[in-house]
Amino acid sequence: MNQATRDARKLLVWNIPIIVFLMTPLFVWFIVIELLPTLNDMINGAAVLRIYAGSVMAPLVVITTIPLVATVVFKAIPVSDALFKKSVWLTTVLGFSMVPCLIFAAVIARPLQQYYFPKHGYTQCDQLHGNPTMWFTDWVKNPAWCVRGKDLSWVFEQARLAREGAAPSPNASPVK
Amino acid sequence: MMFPAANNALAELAARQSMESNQTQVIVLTPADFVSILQDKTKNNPALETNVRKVIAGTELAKYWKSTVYPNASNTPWVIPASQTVVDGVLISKTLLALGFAGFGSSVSVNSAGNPIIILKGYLGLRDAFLRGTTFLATNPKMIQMGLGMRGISNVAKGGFMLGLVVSVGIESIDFILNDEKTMYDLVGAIGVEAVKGGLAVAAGMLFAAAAGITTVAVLPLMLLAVVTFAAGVALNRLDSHFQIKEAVIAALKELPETVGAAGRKQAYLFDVNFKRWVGRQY
Repeated sequence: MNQATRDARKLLVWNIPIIVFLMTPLFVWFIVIELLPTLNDMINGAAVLRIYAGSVMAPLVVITTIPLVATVVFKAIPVSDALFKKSVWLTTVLGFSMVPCLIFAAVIARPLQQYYFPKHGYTQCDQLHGNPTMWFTDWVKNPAWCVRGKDLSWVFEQARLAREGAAPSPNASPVK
Repeated sequence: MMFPAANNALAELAARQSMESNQTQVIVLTPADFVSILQDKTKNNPALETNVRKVIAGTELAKYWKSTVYPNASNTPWVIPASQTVVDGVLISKTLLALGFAGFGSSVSVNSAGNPIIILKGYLGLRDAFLRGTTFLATNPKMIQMGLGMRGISNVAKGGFMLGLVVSVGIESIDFILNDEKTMYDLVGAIGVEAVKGGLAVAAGMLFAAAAGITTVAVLPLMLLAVVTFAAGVALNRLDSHFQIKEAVIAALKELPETVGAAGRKQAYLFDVNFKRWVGRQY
């Protein structure tokens, strides 16, 4: 048994279980709680959109975890060289593809939003609760709903009241 | 009829009495001495401390800090993961430039003595002057500096985390000085939670990097470290804002003296001053 196989087996004891049972669920939770509802809101033209640009990386991290874990397992068994090389190739391709994704999330996403969202009737709002921050950008359908300190549920409530035709002035209620 | 000499004597007496009753002592201090005395006085005088903090908070610098600098730097603190990502990004760029972009295929292997080595691939002429060789031990300072091999990765992770921690602690400390609404609980709670989040994000990056070390692609662990640290930083920030962890920690810290006091009255935290017997001896 060579050193690499011994290393792979060591990784299987602590490293891989933490990745599989702790880190991956965190990213899956992030996708479920943030990415999917945001995509749904974008498709439905919601009253307010909170865009976490970094959330686009979560699916890629989860997908990359699968061949990464497989590679470690293949090395620990160990399997044939051909199969191991295939899993290494897949891991490397996915790993390197995360770098453009990081550049997109950290650099390109914001100007892209500023180009795209105003065309769909959204106005950027940096007054809602949690702002200002680099992690997300808020976009509201109605600029009057951009009130300092208010949270997203308040904006949704205003949109609901506006639909029912009984919307009070957004500035009338006390600031949170 | 009064004599002029007597008038002068009376005027002089009145002036002397007035001066004696209106004595003022003036001490001239250097700024350092003044701060030192103020620190000493405020230690035992909470009212004075509050007043000093109010005065500091009322300055133009403090107002600018509260209204503009701090909200952008630390409202939902991103300083630690952002610093880590910047450090990692700069290092990845430097490493790739030093290797030459054809050096993507550089690999990690083990030599005949069982020590990990890094084999550089690609056209030699495109690499930096200090990387003229093709095979380096993983413990070579050049490799550690470039973040190649597990020791290099640990070095990068440690550097990014320390930078983030120093910047974050600096921002929170300045805010504590300039913002009179901030308490020590806010300071300790904010720094503690941010440090834990930063540490967890780096740990996540290190886990992925260590697993990627098995692939023998030398640059892949460094890439995964940067990407996963950033992604985990975003996810942990979302987790924090979703479950209000930082607010809960600060609230718990604020309640701590009362909780410990109440428990202490029932348990062993306070001495029972009415206790009369000690191991069989009567006092």
